[in-house]
Amino acid sequence: MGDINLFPLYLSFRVAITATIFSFFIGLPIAYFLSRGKGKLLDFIDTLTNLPVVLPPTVLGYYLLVLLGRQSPIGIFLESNFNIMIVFTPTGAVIASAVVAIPYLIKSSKTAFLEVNEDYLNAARLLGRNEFNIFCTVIVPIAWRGIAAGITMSFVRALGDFGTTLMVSGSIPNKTMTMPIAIYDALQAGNKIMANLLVLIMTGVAVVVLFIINMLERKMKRG
Amino acid sequence: MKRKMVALALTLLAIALVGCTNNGNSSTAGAQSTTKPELTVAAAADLTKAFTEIGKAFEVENNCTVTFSFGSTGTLSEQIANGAPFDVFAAANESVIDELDHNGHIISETRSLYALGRIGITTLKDSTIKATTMEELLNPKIKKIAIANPDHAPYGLAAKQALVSAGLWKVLEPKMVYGKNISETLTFITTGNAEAGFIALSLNDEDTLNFSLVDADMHEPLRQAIAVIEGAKEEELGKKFIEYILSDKGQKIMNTYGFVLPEE
Repeated sequence: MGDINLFPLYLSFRVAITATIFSFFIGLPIAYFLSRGKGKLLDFIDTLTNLPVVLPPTVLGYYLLVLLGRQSPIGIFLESNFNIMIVFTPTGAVIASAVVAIPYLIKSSKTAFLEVNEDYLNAARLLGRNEFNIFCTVIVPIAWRGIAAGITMSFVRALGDFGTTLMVSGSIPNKTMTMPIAIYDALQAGNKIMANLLVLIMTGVAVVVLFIINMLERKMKRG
Repeated sequence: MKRKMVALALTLLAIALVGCTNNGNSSTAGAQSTTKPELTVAAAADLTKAFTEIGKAFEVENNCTVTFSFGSTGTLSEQIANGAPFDVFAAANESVIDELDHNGHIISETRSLYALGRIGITTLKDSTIKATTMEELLNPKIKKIAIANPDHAPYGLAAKQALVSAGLWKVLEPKMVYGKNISETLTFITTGNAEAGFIALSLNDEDTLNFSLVDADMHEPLRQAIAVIEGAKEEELGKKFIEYILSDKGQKIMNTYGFVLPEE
């Protein structure tokens, strides 16, 4: 019992970082379009993106297990053509954490985009900039803090995900067992020493990450 | 004058509301204390089907209501150690009950063995892949095998022990996926994400699953123990419930779900 396996910590970081990168590239455009337009369809998409926050993680995990599982059209296609499995692999864990993390990024970025003064955008348009150029050089620099907050929250959420990942990953030791699952297992097995140690590491890591990001944000504010 | 009227109206409204809630409370409380006591039972997930049926029979016989909280043995025992208000705890293994006993959370003399669990290999009826023996799990078409986590789930541990005694654990380990309890393990199988798996005999569903018992000698016996919890509100009723499970009537129901009474 003396030796602690740090693999779950390493895996959790790898999964959370990858999930955050994916959330960023998928979530940011969604947030942008949600902030620019109005209409029933966008309202619907808005609701849909918030669903992972409200649904119990086990329900989300079950959805993923059925939608991406080995009997789903996607699962069958990938397995028969490329011999790839999504469930029970780290990829599955990344998808699960990205799904639970993405709403936080979208919400925070959307709010930040909405706060950008329309006058700046119109000024840039008058100067002949195209919308993509405006997004990169005007909107993002102004809305940066909201986006950063969104990235932070989604990263921490991805790092801490338990229920959804558990359903999809199959908690295989040294392969798909992330930190929260390792903590749950240690607790269930009555291994208090191990559980407490892992809990302390996890809390310490979370505090340090949040502290660093807060500092960065403050620096950003001062300019 | 107007203000007084408003104040009076509000006071009356308040009295009416309080009166209503009071009435509501006293009537339900009265019903509970005079006619129907409520027994709260924490039980391992493998008992879901058997205990639901036993609970109904017990309710009729003793004119009470029985409420079950099914979960993993580990979680329930953690909750009980932290003062969860259950009356009776039926665990999936006896060591958990022993540990609670050691720490003074259960009434020692009520501790009894009530069932012996059995495990089996299961596959989906709809699937073309079949496995009836542990050797057949070597079939390359079986890419994933689901078991409950052997570190803390009794049925998972039994499955691992059986595979170890068959000399197959090392070979099959790369195929293993782990459910957090026996019900989640079953979900992996029923959703077709694992081609085969080990589940409790008591959870077998003949309509959808193929099930082949694993020889009981292949793993340590799954001795399941039950006890009344220290400080239970319904201590006497709890003792009656345990007696009922051990009685012929109770055992008859347990038998139909694949549980046998262990010989001491």
